[in-house]
Amino acid sequence: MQDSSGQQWVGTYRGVVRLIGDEIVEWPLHQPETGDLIYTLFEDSEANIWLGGRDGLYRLTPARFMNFTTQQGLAANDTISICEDATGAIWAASWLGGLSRISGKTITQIHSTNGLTDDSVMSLQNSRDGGLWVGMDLGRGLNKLNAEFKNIFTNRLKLNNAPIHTIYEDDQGRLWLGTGKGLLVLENSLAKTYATTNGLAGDNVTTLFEDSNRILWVGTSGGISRWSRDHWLDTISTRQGLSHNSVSAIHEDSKHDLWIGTKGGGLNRYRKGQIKAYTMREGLFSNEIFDILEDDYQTLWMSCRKGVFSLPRRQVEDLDLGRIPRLGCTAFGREDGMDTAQCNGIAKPGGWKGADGRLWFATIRGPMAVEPRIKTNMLPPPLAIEEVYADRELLRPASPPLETAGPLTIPAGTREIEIHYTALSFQLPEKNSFKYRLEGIDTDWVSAGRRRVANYHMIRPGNYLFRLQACNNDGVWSAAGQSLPIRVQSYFWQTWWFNPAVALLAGLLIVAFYRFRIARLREIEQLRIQIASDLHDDVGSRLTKVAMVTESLNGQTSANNPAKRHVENISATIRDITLAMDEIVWTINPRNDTLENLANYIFHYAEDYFQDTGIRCLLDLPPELPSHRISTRERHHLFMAVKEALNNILKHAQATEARVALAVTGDWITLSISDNGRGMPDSTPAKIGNGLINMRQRLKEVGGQLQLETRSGAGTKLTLKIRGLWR
Amino acid sequence: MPIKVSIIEDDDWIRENLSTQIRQTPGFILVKAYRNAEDALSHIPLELPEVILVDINLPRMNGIECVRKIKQSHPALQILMLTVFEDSDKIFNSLLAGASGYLLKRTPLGEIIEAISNVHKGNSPMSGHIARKVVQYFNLRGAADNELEKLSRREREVLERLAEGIAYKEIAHALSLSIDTVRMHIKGIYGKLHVHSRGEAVAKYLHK
Repeated sequence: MQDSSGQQWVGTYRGVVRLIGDEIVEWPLHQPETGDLIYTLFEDSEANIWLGGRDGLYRLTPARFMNFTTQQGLAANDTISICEDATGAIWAASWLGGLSRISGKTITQIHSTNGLTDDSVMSLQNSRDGGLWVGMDLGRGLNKLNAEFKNIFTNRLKLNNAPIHTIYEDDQGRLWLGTGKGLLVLENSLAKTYATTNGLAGDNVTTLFEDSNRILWVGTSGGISRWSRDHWLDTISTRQGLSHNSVSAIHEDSKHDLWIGTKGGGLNRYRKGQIKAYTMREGLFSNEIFDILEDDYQTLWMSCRKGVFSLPRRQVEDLDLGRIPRLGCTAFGREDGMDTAQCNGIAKPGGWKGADGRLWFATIRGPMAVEPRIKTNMLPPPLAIEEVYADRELLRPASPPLETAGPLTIPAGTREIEIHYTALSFQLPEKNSFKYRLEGIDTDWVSAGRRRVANYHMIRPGNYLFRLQACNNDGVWSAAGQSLPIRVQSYFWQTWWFNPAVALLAGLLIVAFYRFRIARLREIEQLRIQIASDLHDDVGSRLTKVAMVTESLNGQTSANNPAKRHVENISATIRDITLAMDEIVWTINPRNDTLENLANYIFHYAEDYFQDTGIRCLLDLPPELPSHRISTRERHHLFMAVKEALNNILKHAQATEARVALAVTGDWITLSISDNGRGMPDSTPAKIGNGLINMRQRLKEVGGQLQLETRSGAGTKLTLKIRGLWR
Repeated sequence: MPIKVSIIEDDDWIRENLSTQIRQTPGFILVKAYRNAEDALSHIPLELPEVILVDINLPRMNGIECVRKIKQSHPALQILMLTVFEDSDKIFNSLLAGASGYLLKRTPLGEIIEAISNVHKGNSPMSGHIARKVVQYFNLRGAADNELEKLSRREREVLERLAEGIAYKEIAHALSLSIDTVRMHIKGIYGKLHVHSRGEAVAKYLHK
């Protein structure tokens, strides 16, 4: 199979073989000894190579990072400086561990045993005549290695135990040594020292850089001192606008801007005397920078304690112009294949751009090569909703990608919804990050980071839209238009029409109930009428018969007949029964529930009652009565009270005249019964007293009132009041 | 002259008993006793009694309707209603229909006889509560009446006093009239009531 970069891949019995140019590189897989039988090869759209083997599926991602360790033959892992010589070999200085020379796959170690004067190597630099300068730590001086890797520098240097951090040989043959205690300049065996005492910006010299204008930039812990030709030019420190005085790296780009890395102040750009600083606040990955390199694609690569990060120069321009709010650095760490993240920044060069374009950095696990040529994953990741769970139950299994998925229906009453999603980007899926938003619930995008699950609780029924965005391992975000319609079903009681329907139903029920009640009441009324009628006809006529018979009998029985007494008794009893029946029939008949009827009945009764008693009965009834409705209960109780009152007059009042009057004012019906008798003294006999209590009780029962006015010798007046209902 | 009386009563025993009692009373002749309105109506034009006792509750055609029919064809006939209970509405309606009074069936014979004589003489009794009903009735009608149907001033005065429960004697005294004049006025009132027994007005009132 030929991949997108034109390379050939061949699946083999042991693994896969790749042709890089003329070189055949074998890639053993799985078990390094036995490898695996590869049946099939495939390159995906992200340039990942997938291999189907007998023992499994392999994914080969284009590797960006490669490093050398003691496993490959490195002298020691903790690499402190790095440089490439004229032959293309990579030299790595290991702290207190000697030198390693990497040429292709061969690593040669050089120690104090085979060429170096000391093993505490620190800094490196190519000499103009093809050799290698090696600066030592702890004041152990300087070595120069020739082609045979033998030291040929023998000068004694007054270093005061200072380490040599950085070495520079200019075109005039001067050797500049940046040490921890100042700058040492060797010219024709003459050494001159510069420190803060004689104008150097700082005593700890960290970096030396000659720009395209032949100005030597001396980076120190106190800023930058610039040397031009044969004299000191100026100092650049925080006073001139530098973000931090502890300078650690200086780099000039193709536009002749100078980039200054600091330990604590981030990155500074010096352009025609103007300094602009970029720190973590502007989006820089780290404020502490060890080394700055630039690849062939206008991207700055910087090393720091946290690893290596890249920053396209374009980003800085865009930030300056306000096109972007923050710098977008791409940081690399262990998940990208780096063996370690930690780089070293004590000595120079901490990083070197190789002739083949690769960028080398000194890390604590050996020299590391970064392939900047690996094209960034420009592919926005396709998105997919995988499983959806409603209340922990699988609602929808992982399905085709988002674009083809249909709307999702969530059953009513679901409390918990879990949406599992993912991005189909496999170059480095661990670096994929996500943003989602449920329109209708979330007011803004939710940054889920690496999480691939969205949880929602107690979502009300309705229609929603779930949107998803993801970015791939190189920070390329998918388009914002991926969405999944979700419909949460409602229980019927949650739908819009339910409440009004219930209200309507309740209303109808109330009406029905009311109607039913009316019907019942009507039924009862009919029953009463029926009973009254039956009593009237049936019982009444029989009573009449009995009465007539008894009358007849009475007439036929002579006065001296001992049975006469009994017959008279029967006769009287019949009369009483008949009167009682009369009253019952009157009471029971619902047709009599009117004021008019009640009034007529009471007056008729009074009239009859006082007939032939010697008491004159005067009646006062308004000619017209309003059509009030009086309930049976009211009629009954009122009539009983009236009977009691009349009885009192007849039996106890010793009156000659009685008066019954009726008046109606609005709702109130007033019935007054008065006599011209002796009145009721305070020492009223108990019988009357009880009777009065009884009357009062009756009136109260029906929501009425009873008033008594009496004066000894001046008669009695009883006023009964009840409330009638307008028909 | 003995008074000719007929009875319309559906209860056998009561009818028999009443009939016997009337027959046995001197001065009274029982013409015929009928058990329903239909029989009575077909025979009365032939028999022509002077006073008829009519049961309010008759099978088929009721008593009130019967009274109306009799009065239409024989306005001179005096009618007394027989009733078990004092059902004021029914009683009043029968008065409107043409009756001149009513009797409870359980009334002692003596009183029945007296009532028959009175009504024969033209002295229709008007008790207080009947008077009250009459007052209410005439008030209800108000201005709808023409001259013939309205009560005269004197009639009204008598009626109102009757409604108050004042005895004939005292009414006569109060109005400076003789008792007979009072009785005459009462008859007049009844007459005006009976006038209204014709036409829809009565039907409306009966169905109240």
